[in-house]
Amino acid sequence: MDANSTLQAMLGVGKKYSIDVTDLRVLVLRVITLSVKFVSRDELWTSRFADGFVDWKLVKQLTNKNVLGGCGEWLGMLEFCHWDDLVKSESEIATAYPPLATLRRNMKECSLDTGDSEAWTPVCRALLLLLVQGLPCLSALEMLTCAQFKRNTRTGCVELLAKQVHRLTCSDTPSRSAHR
Amino acid sequence: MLDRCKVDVAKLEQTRALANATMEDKRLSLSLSRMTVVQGRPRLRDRVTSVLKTEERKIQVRAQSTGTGTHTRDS
Repeated sequence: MDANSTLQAMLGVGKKYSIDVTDLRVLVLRVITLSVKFVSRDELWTSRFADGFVDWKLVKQLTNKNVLGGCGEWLGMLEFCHWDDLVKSESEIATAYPPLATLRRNMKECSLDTGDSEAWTPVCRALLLLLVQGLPCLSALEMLTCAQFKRNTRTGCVELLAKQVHRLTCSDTPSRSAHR
Repeated sequence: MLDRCKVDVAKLEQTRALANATMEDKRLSLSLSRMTVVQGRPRLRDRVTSVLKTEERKIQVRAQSTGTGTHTRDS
């Protein structure tokens, strides 16, 4: 999705849920905060944007959906997000952010890692796509990686998701992995 | 992870400015095209002109008939 359409989608979210759109950087973070699954969105919002207003009544009406839209909108918005600084603290990530480190390792094994100094950016984008509610994981990962590597990455994305589930299963059931 | 996220605000602001400028340009173009159409419609202009001339002529004839006391019919 082009930059203008993405921006209009983001501003539309701000208008619909009564979010301040003056600071676009904060708007991006707020859209992400309102869209993640597995965590309490209002607790996450309160911890990060205590002074920020949002129409929670409307947000809570969204079940299994996110505030922004589909893969196009999310990939368009994530184009503006970068995590190049993470390369400076790579040694700490394994202990400080284990899910991120695991995802990077899995992406390397599936030939979906760029290996350069900006490699953490696609990894973080992939992790966010996996955490957004109502987004088809395989399609989102495919769109992200196909655009990056300019090739068909479907097989790699399927392997990546399988590895993510496998590692998750192994970490939850240590006795089962010992028997294997 | 959100703390370490760097957002390309410059590009976002540039996109917003461009979108606003495009909308303003479209609004002005639409206003200008409406003004041009109202001013340049020949039938409306001619109709208004002929009506005004007819009314003016009627006034002249009435003035003449009032002055002379004879009733004259307009052609």
